Amino acid sequence: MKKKAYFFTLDAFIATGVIAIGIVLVLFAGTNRPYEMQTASLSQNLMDTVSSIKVYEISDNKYVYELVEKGDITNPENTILEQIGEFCYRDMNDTASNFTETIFPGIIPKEYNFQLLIKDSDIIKFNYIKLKDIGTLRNTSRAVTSSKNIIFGLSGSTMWGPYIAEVRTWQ
Amino acid sequence: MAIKNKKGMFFTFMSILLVTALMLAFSSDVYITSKNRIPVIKLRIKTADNYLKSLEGAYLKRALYVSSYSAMESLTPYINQTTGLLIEETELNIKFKEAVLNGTIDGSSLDNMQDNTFIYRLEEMEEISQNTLHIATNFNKGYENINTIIFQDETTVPWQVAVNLTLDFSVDAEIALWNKTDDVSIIFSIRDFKET
Repeated sequence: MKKKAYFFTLDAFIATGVIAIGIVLVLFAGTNRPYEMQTASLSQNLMDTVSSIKVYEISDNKYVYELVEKGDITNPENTILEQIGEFCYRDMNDTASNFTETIFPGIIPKEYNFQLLIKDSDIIKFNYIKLKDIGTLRNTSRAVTSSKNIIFGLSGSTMWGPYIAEVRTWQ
Repeated sequence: MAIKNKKGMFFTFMSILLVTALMLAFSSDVYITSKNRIPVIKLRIKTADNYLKSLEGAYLKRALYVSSYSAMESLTPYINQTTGLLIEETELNIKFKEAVLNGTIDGSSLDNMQDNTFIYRLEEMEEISQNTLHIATNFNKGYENINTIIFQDETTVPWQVAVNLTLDFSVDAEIALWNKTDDVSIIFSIRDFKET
């Protein structure tokens, strides 16, 4: 009779172990999440960066220097984002694209795709997309984050803006 | 009938307890909601703070610069064509304030002040900050509540004029509220104004 009890107890312990393993497998099976916090931080950090770095701080870049010399950049005190906004206001979208192409790859990690949008109300004045080598379209990504800022500036004695600048990042 | 295998029952009961304890341990998840919300709140306040700095440090100054420059450009020919030189500084300030804020002089609209008045710039910013950043900006746009003065002093070199403007406003980011009174000062040159 005692042997029966031992068998029953042993059986219970084995059953407990099987149940525990099952619970662990079920609970931890679906934990493959994209890096949401990193993507969100990147979006905001990128916005902070381009909203604070001024053009004169990057004027050692050959292309930026040429723009200053040519007179396309009239105010080196503009931030990067303000300068792109000014190019949009002056209908210099090609220059804005080249400027963005020159500046942004150096500050975005290669693992991320990004998009820069500048809008005047609902009108898109500038849309630049940079995909990583094997890029993912934004609408198929599982984690897309965006940060927005309001930009404005002076062009001579005229004020342009306020425009809405939006940075989107995804993997 | 007596229960013969008391030890077996005891061990089985212990096993059931163990299973229950394990199930509770894996299923009980304590959600600390405020901890999850902290990064979002930090980001929100940072966004609002950056917005406020941009508003105070740049937007108000640039808006005042542009509207003052255009107002002065309009005021000069008006004075020449109508009243002649304004002798009283008070009268100049009254007309200048009307031009900067309303885009009119003595009630008459000024062409180059269309969508270029200081009030218009404030309204634009109120709208865009609400729609884009979901931050409610409220400027005290009452004519009597905004003080403007145009002058020259030791800080202005020849052919320059200075403008000071005092403005009350609030910025409400829902989780934080700022009430501000700002003195906005700009200096601009009248050297390139057309001769009339």
